[in-house]
Amino acid sequence: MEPTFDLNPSAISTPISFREGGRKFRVLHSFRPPQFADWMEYEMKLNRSVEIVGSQTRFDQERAEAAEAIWDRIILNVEGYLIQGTPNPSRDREGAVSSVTDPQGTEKRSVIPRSDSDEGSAFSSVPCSLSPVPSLELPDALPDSWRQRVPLLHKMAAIQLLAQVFPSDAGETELYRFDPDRIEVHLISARGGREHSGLVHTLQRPTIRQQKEFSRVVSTAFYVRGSRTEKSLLPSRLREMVRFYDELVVAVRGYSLNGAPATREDAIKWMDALHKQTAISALFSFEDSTPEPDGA
Amino acid sequence: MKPSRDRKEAVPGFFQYRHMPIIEASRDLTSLERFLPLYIESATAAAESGLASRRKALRKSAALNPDRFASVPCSLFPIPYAFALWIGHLGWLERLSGGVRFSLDDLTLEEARGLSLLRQERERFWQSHASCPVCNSVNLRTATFCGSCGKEWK
Repeated sequence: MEPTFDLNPSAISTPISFREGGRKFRVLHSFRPPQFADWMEYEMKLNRSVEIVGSQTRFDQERAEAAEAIWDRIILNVEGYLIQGTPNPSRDREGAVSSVTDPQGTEKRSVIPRSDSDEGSAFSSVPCSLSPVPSLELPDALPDSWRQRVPLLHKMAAIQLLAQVFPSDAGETELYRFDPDRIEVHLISARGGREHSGLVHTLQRPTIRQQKEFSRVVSTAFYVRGSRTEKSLLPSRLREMVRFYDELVVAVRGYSLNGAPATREDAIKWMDALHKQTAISALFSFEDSTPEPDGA
Repeated sequence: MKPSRDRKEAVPGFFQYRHMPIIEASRDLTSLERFLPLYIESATAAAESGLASRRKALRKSAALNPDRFASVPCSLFPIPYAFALWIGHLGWLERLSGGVRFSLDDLTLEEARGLSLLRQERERFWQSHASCPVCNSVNLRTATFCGSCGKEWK
């Protein structure tokens, strides 16, 4: 049975694999669950804009700044960033004493398990066996400044993984099991390096008034008069999307809270704002832009 | 009529551009009047009438690099995205008004003004254009034959 998507875990572990200097590495970022205010900050910092350059329309957003802002707000810990300590001859059977001096001049000491020991995390054991110099995890080595030391590209990659939620694409045309009052929206999300595909939101069929409001919200944008590139600024629509969701949600499947299946009230209170936004966008998008194959 | 919401606080980077005025597209009626005719012309061109297809084929046959010609998107009248979105919304409201009754109380002030401008501009467009009774392509009223099917008019 597929594990449910926990709406309020104590931490969200996000593994990132990357290449640096031609070698392959893997680190882990742990976050607290992002709240609505965190995603709002992210959306505001994106500064989405659209310009006309030549005959092309260019879409722009400041993803780096936005990712860094939310990363700084919700990060709990990182693992796998090993800071080399100074070699210490006093290695004994228990392990080695490593020392690192942080920018404030405070010396940090830590006992690193021997490479053949079962202790320690999976991350510290691998490089220790390769390097004769014992290492400290970044937050231990630099407790006051480790957040600033994590590379921006890593922060962006971690936030991109955290924000992954899409409407599931069935691919094939299905039998239409019509409910005049409700619509089911199926989402796929990624968390902790695992895909969650059984996420179902049952929503009320929107009224004409709600469709009108939705169209109004997604059609609102700002024009920079006098800009050479006819610049438009796109405001965040997250607040309105969340409001629509809270109005329309009836039930959810595939989500849990404290080990129990999530109720409608849980969904309103704890559902990730990006899941709400994606469900609402899928609910209101009616037309299928994919053409049927000839002869179908 | 509903009062307009003040979304000024929601503008991303509002103060970054304060040397240039920023305005919600729906409230900028002067610019809306300027872009509406361009939008309608673009929509007609994008509908790929027979005439537009033929012109494109002629240009492609004369192009030095036909592959590059095909890959470059043809945007005759670039319209600021904010207005493309807003006019799209007005068009959707206009279509909706054909099937669903709604009063002015259901619209914001900007929507009511925008719809009125859209209808005026559409009327103006049809004063100078006509659709072919045979193939339905849009042609200038001054044309003596249909650019799509070749039907001659009196």
